[in-house]
Amino acid sequence: MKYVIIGSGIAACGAVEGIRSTDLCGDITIIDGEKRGAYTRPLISYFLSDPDRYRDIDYRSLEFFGEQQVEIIPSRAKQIDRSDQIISLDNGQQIEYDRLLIATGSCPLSPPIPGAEQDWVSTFYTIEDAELIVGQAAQIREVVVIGSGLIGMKAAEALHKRGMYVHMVEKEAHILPRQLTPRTAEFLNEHLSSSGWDIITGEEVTVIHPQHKVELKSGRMLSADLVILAVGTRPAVELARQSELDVRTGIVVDAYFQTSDPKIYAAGDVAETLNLASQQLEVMALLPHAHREGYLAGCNMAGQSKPDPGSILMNSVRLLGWNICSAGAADYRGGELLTWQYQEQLLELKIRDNRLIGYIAINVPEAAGPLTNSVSRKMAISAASWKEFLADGPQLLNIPPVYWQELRRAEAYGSN
Amino acid sequence: MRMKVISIPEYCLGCGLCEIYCAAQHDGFNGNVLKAYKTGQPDPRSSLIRSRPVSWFNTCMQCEEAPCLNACISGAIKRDRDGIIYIDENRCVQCYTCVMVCPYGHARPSSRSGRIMKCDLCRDSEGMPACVKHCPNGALKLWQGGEEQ
Repeated sequence: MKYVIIGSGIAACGAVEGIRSTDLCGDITIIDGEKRGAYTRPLISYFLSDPDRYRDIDYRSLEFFGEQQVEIIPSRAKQIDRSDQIISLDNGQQIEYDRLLIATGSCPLSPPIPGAEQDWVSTFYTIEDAELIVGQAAQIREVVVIGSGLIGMKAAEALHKRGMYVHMVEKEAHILPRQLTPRTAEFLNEHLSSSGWDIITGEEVTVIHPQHKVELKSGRMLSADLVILAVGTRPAVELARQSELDVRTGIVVDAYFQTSDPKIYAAGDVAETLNLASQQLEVMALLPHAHREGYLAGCNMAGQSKPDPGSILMNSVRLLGWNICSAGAADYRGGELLTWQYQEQLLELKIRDNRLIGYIAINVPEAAGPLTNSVSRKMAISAASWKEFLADGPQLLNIPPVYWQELRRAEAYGSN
Repeated sequence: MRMKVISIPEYCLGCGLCEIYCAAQHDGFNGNVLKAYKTGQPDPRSSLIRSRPVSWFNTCMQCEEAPCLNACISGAIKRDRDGIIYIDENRCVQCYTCVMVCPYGHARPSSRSGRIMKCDLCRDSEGMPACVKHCPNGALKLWQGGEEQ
């Protein structure tokens, strides 16, 4: 069996592990379009803050690929010929496949802002982006980061750590708009602002002037030696579209990650998968999901039959020493919000119909695992139990006992 | 072969010796409890949970499709040849994604240092894991494949 994987990111690594869990002798070829191996994107901000310490940001090492007997071709896939099952690469090579995985990930959105094409304006998505900024760092004193999502936040943190002055412009009413509620955002905002960040919310950048000035809608002008565009990402579906596979926002796959062509699979940021909270098929571009999806797709490509149970949106991030975990639904309309706060710790639980549907935990990591699992399994745990949990202090030993009983019922927790 | 330490709550007295011996077995204390607790900063990898009316030692299930292993953003969580999931501390950036996804609440940050701790079945030392060896009431055992319980 000839397995080919287009993309060398997290889903690709998961797929290698999945294929090898079943098929130890099939040929596996990875087409690495970025030509940088299997590195982990979230670590580019760590590289930017301290390039010497974080020089090695490989997700899986070359030895790993050696042990798994994977051939890596540093070239970009240009075209998929589905009838002959051949991929053409931009180095002229042609590669045959029996099973193909498209794991091309996402790419950063470029907002239509006049001046965004200048060479001191950059996205922050690849290791190459980070290296370019590191190369110019000595000349940079002041930066404008457009967007306060996770990418913008981690870029801003790294630049701040290098001693640069950070302006952050967010068009929504508060920072991390997709993760946080107004109150949790305000709580984090105070921490970042008191560390010296200039955070401007409810504002948009209208023009980036060549004189190193960034103009906002209100007319306010910011100076900048560097502008980071961090306004979101989209799935890299070009190849799939050109090959006439079913594509909506992302590539359409079934529960086994099979696309509309039974020989071709897709996983990771590029595919639409089941969000258990909304019960919709969505692009959930998150690293943990990419690995799991890749693994399951790999198992299925090798002949197993492992469906995707679906997942929920979740994030855990460290920002200037603070930990922010969030998972589940953003919207809790028709439900209630329980809040617990102590000094630098803040926890919000979103409850509806006696189920935890989402939570945000700032500096309260310990019980986060059971909280996430309560959300994704839709466990019936009453609002009263969660109130008691908060009243006793949101620690692991105070998790409602019914949670552990449910867990023991559901799986082999070793004890009963 | 998959191995894990399992707890038998019916036998657990909640004495907490498991935590003490777990901490003393790691971080170079070589099982020396006095040295760990008198002069060091003991960090038990697993924690004893007392959740009315039972108690148990909350060890790692070394899951086959392990959420922590899937989720680790830096590649710091690995599985060794014996199937034991462990943390390469040099690679960990303390994002706590593993903490967020572990349904058992097992992987968790040290309250002292913030680093992530999880059970590695005492892979650096000979014989039974320290918690199993020192449980006075036989409430912990090493499961090595086959039937549960």
